Formats: sequence, C-alpha cells, structure tokens
Amino acid sequence: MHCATHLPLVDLTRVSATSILSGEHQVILQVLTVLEKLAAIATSDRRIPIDHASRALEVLTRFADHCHHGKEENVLFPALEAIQPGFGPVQVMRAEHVEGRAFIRAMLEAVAQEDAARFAQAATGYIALLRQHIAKEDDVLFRFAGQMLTPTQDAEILEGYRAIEHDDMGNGTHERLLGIADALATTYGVPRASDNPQIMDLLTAICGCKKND
Amino acid sequence: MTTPIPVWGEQIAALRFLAHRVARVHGPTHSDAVTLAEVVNALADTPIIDRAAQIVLGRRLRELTEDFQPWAGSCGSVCQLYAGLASVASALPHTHESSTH
Repeated sequence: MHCATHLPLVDLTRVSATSILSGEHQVILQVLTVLEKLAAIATSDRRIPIDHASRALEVLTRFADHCHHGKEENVLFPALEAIQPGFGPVQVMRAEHVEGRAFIRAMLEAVAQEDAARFAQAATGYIALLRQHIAKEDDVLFRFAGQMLTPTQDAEILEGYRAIEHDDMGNGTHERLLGIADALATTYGVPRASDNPQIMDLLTAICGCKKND
Repeated sequence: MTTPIPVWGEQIAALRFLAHRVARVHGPTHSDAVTLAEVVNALADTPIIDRAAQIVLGRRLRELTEDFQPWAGSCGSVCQLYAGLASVASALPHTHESSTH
C-alpha cells in the first residue's frame, strides 16, 4: 500500500478524472468564502441577505452537490470500488456528502423562515465540513485514484462526467452556475478561481456538443 | 453590497466560461473566437455602473459576431454563446442613451 504523502499531487495542467474535480473544488471553496461573509452579515445584522444567500445555495445545491458530488458518487467512486472493493476512503466521502446535505437543508429552511441565527450556524458547520472534506479528497483520495486508474478508465470516467454535466444538468446549466458563483465572488471581493488559467481550462474542458454538432 | 446582482451581470459571467471553451476549441480556425473571449472577459469585469465601457464593448461584440450570427456549420456551444451574447447586448445601454444621460 502506498503512503499518500509519497503519491504525486493531482496534476492540474492535464485534464483527468481527478483534475476536473480538483478544479471544481476551487469554485466550491470560492463560494464557501462568500457563504462565510453571508453568515457574518447574518450574525452581525441579524438578517439574511436573502437574494445573495439564495444564489449561493443554488450553486451549492446544484453545482457542488448535484453536479460535482454526482460525478463522484455516480462515476468516480464506483470506478474506484470496482478496482478495490470496499475502498475505505470512498465510504468516508459518501458519509460526509450526506452530512453536508443536512446542513444545506437547514440553510434553505433558515432562508425560508428568515432565521438569521440558524442560517449562520448551519453555514458555519457546512463551511467547516466541506473545507476539510475537500482537503481530504485533494490530498489523499485523488492522489490514490490517480495511481489506480488506467488511461482507458480515466477516459470512461470523463465521458460519465460529460453525461452528468450536459445530459443530466442540461446544456448551459454548468456555465450558468459558474457565472452565479463568479458574480457573487465579484460582489463580495472574493478572488475568482476561474482567474487561474489552469482552473479555467479544467472548468471548461468538458464540452456538451456531440461529435457531429 | 446586498443589492441584487443584475441578470445580465450573471449572464455575462456565465458566457465568459462558454467563450473560453469556444476560443480553445475553435480559436485555431476562427481567430475572432479568441478576440471574442477577451471582449467577453472585459465586459464581465466591467463595473455595472460603467455605462460608457459597456457601450463600447457591446458594439465590439456585435462586430465580432457579425450581429450575433453564428458561422455556417457552427457547433451547439457557438450557437449558445452567440444567442447568450445577443441577449446580454440587448440589455446593455445603447449609444443614443449615452448622449441623453
């Protein structure tokens, strides 16, 4: 068994099953920083900036959970489990996704009820959970995955991602959600992940056009 | 800070990603696609209140896309980009407005 610290980092200059997800992590971290600022406003002003909080929750629900976690749970994780049945790290990641969904539900309810204290509490819990979750995936799971997957398996996984991003989410939805994430970042003075050319390339690597479009 | 983000502001932020993809895929055969991505980038970074810059960039979008008409045989991403840019351009201030404000 390899030690994770001796495995190469995810290569963000190359499109792969893991680099695509690491690129998306940077957008999710960007939205978490916006969410942190929204939670601070909720705490200090005792009110939720409803429009912006709803926008951030749409990105977290549809981009982070449905699209990004969907790629992991429906494509990458099954591929890793097929190679190594009962692969432990994947089970931990799945459990944390479930935990995250509970925080999102709590934030959505808090926004609906305009309950600023509950929103701030749920947001703070979610931010802490997701930051450590992303660190574990980038620093451990994806480095193992990079060693486990053959080029053929990697290509099959990328096709699975394309199906989720375009066929399942709908053409243009991925870009629309990235646009909301960036508009929020600009509004709150948070650096945009897409300003890094490598990340921008990864975020736009999967094209929805069929081959003969 | 908590005022709503204008719809076109989110639209152009989204189109920035599509324009980047189109430039990467079609740039080698359609050099205007690369310039177009740069103009979309500039518009996305233009402050909402900078109407003069929006007018200039809106005109440039119209020129580069030949009035938002995709080239013959273009792919779905190009059609989607041009349709989106036409929608954004229609929401931008026009020249005649700049002379009256």
